[in-house]
Amino acid sequence: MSNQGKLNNIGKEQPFRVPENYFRDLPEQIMDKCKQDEQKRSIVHILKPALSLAAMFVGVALIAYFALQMIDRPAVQVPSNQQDIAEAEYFDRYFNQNELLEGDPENEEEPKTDNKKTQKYIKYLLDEDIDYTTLINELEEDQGQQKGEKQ
Amino acid sequence: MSEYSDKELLEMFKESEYRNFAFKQIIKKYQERLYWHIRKIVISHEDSDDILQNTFIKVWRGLDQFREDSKLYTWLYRIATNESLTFLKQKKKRQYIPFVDVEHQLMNVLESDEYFSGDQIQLKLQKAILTLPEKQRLVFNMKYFDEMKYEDMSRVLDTSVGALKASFHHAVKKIEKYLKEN
Repeated sequence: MSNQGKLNNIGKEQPFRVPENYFRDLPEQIMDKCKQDEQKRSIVHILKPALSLAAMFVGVALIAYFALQMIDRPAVQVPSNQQDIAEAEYFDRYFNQNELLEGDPENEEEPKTDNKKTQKYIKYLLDEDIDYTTLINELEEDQGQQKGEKQ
Repeated sequence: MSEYSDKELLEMFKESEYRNFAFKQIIKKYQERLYWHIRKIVISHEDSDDILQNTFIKVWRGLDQFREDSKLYTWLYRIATNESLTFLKQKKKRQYIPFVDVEHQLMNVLESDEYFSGDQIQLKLQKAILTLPEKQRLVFNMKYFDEMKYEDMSRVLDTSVGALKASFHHAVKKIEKYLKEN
């Protein structure tokens, strides 16, 4: 085939050249670089455990620092509008509508002093085991005396 | 050329006393073959020199782990090929240009290369080779110029022998067409 013959006719010689003495000097140059590379690698090899240890300490310190930051910080920081929503939800959950209209059960007025006194008396009478009729008579007498004093 | 066999050199390399000597012999034995292989991929002498030196530094680092079930020279070729292709990819990335334009650039390097000593027909052949896709270019150079066996090429390029034969066949056809048309 003519084209194939043409390719073969070109020949297989290298069409490129190299600078003078290139291949003579190259092995020495490469050996120098290899030795330098080995020195660098041996320094890294020596320093590697120390560097690893230092990196580990830095890592532990960072973890401790962030952990402390997390502990010191308030559990949840709710933005103001979200806080309003949270309060409304709290009231809906723990109080029905009537209770809210009546007022805060925790701040209800103290029972009147008279009621307290009455309760005290009742307790006293029960403890002393006083007869009911005697008690009524005593009270009527007492009321009569009070009326007389007023008149 | 080194008077030692690969096996002898590898054994010497394992002994710290002869390590440097053995490695220097390996460089002497393979530097030219690897250089020309790299040069045909990246064209420029300066780039080839850098890649060849990096190749041998990598060999130096990895020779302890080299498994002797494969041939030393196919392993060296493999490293040199990977280094060359990585170089071209980095060049493409650095200059933000598509691969086709890298090959166009290589053609310009070829035309202005002070270390190109070929005649016009050889220049035309090199230009024709640069028009091939990357893999075909590698296969053509390794088969045509380096006369490497397909089995060895298969180990270097991780490609089946059949695919390599087909690739070489297509490459020859394309080059012939280029030579005829230009």
